[in-house]
Amino acid sequence: MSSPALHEPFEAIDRQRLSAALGMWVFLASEILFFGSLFLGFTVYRSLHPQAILEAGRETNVVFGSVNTAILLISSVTMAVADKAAERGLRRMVVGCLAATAALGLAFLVLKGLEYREDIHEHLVPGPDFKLKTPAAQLFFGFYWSMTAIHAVHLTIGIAAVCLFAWRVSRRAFDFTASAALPSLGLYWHLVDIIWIFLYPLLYLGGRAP
Amino acid sequence: MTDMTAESGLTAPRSDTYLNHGSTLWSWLTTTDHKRIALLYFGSITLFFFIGGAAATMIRLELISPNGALFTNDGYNRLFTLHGVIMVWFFLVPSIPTTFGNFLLPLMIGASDVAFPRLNLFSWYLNTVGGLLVVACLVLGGVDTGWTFYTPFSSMFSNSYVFLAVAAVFVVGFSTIATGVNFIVTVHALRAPGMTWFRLPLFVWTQYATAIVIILATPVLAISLALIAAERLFGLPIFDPQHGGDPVLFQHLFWFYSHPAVYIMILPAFGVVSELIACFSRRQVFGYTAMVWAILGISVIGFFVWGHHMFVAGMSPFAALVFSFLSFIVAVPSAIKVFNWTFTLYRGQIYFEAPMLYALGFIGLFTIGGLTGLFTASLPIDVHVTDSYFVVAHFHYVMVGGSVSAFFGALHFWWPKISGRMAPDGWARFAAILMFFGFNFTFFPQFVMGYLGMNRRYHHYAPEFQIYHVASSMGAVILAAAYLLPMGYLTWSLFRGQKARANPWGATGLEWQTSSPPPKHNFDQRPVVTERAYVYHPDQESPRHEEPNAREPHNPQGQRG
Amino acid sequence: MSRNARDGSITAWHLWGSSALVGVALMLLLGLTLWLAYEPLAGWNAVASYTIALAKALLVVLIFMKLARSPWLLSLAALAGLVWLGTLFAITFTDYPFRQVGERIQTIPSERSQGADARPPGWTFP
Repeated sequence: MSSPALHEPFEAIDRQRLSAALGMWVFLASEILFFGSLFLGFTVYRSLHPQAILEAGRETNVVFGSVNTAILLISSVTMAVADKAAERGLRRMVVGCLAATAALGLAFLVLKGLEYREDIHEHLVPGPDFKLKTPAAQLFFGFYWSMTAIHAVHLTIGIAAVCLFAWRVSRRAFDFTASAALPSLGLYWHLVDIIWIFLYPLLYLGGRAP
Repeated sequence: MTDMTAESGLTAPRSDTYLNHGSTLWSWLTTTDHKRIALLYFGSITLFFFIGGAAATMIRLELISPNGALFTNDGYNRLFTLHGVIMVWFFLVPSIPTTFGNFLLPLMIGASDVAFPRLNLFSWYLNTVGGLLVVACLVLGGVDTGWTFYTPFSSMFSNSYVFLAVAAVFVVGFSTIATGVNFIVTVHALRAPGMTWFRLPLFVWTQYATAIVIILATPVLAISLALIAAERLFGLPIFDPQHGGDPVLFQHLFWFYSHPAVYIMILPAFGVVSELIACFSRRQVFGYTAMVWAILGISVIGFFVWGHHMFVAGMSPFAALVFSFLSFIVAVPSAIKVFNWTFTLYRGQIYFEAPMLYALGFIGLFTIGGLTGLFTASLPIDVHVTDSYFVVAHFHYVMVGGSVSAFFGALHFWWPKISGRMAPDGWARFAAILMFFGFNFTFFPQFVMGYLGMNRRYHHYAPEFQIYHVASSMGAVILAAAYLLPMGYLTWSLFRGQKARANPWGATGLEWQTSSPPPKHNFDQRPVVTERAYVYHPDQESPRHEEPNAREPHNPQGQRG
Repeated sequence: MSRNARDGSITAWHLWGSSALVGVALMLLLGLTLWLAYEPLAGWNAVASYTIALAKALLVVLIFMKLARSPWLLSLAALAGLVWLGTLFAITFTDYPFRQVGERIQTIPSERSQGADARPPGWTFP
């Protein structure tokens, strides 16, 4: 009854799946600290320069931010469905949901790129001709660019992995029902989504209220 | 099942060991066997140890004269930065986990490999990429920021290859994260039947605790370095004081990794020494459970003390008090370990073979390093000795006297298992003693001159310190010889050494249950564990005297197959 | 055929039902947080934003990432990350609020007097 997905050094597929999930969660714990330290830096500056940070926060484009949040949340739904479909062995549904997930991820990146273009046009890149006069306002945009860029890198890796799996599942290249690869990829994708869930109020909602 | 013929069966030379299972270069570069990956890491680590060591040699050469005769100021800055970056990230942090950890962890818990063998190989390639980046940085001209990359110098002013160095450390950080993930899952998922948590050898516990520290600390370093790169390449103001940024914030993030990194370096050494002390005094480890809790305690509390590197950096006095207090707390579990090793020796049958000499040397040197750590943890003394050679001596006692001694102890202890040959014990003892003396000769004078006011990172100094620097440099010659000697006789032993039996030291532990060197899949039959670790003698009885060449095999931790 | 089709539709409901519900909840929360961000809540806007973000994250973690139905070991790994992050925050904030005058962050004096950031730099106690 051994599945082709079972590989050394494991002797049972359940244990292998649990181990893959644990390995991914351990990595995600690492990722929490990775992004968490960025949030720490932001929080420190927010406490040191509250007015300047809020003033700068009003400059981001809330439309792009909100639409992108919605896109990522929907992509998490399709990813979750892909995972469930894989458990039931529904190959075409898995491929379809993964393709939708990757497409939504790409849409996010495209919108992000358009937003970046607008930001550059509006002189929101820290430097001598920065839009706002308050020095500490540039700190906000230092974090805006680094955080969104690092998030985009994570998302790009996720999209590439999703495409790869969709392709392999559609080619019937591996036993996707038994393999732990898809659930692990799902965990990663959802974490990238969660990071954005916290980036959204941090970068787009601060200082909007009158 | 545990008949005596099994032992002789293991002693007979076999042809299907992991070493001769495929001999092409390709078979090594694509291997997923944890033992072969350990040997690949041995190669990388040895290379970087010698690059870092060459830098150290030049530093000691330069410091013989108080006038800075050999290097320009800038050249000297690049030299000690190179020494620090390479020794910390390319030797000390990966040293014991990626070599002995990779080799022994699956063997000690009775598994056939680590949980994710391909990830394991991938981590070595990441390590190699990081290594190439740092070598490129070195060839192009190096970095002058010090291994700590403090902003704003590193991000705004330095005219050296900061980005390359930062990228190298970033990449190699992810390589250790991969190893950490692997170790945690391996210990959770792949223990042999009967191998409960409190039957694990202490070496396994330390690898597990180290992996936890790696997982939770390294990402913060990665971010702090990425932010430097962002500030340097794209001019984003992150730590820039002109825009209200805080350079001390970088130090918080950097030391949130780099203090626990000290425990990444020393915890595996604790594990090694626990194995050696137990085996060569034929005693059960005193207070096994306390040892386990001390290991876990160090790995947790070690995260709460990072600020003691920043007492004079402009931190709030309240934070300094908190960090000082917590730094004293972390000394408690370390002291528990030292006392327990000492009690393990008490009434043991002690063999002064080479691995034991390294282990005993470790205890002495680590104790000095640890106690001087308490000096620097207390605020008033630290204000006096910050950035002096006192601090340099302190951390070299812990990292070189501690970790490197343990590394060489482990190398001699498990050499028969890894290579299938015995190291020549006479030479090995000589090297161990030489290392102990050479080390103290090199670094003890640094305590004195540091206390008297010699600053670190300067190559021009007041002439009254010359006597200490000359003494230190002379000691460094002895130390270098002690490091080079094993290269010679261990290589010799590969060809001419006596063939090793499966369990030459009569040690407990599952790794001694398989042949030397082990077959590709580690065990011919999966071991079943029936007792706790280190049962060298029955409870309530002292260990009996055993002749060195007739030590009892002690049927390690249960039944064979 | 019809039986197969009905099975298919049941499967589709099982597949999509709960996930779509969570998705709808996430969208409602997104709308709520966007609306609240523009309401004058006298300083409570940030609290509202991050509470809603936390709620969204919990939905994703517990249901999409299946942590609610997974062995405790996986939750332990996640908790370790959160606890250590909490430690990083907690101990770092023994520093900034308690800085002495000379240790506080200063921006360049000429720009400080321009009004936008006229309040004294550094932390002030409420």
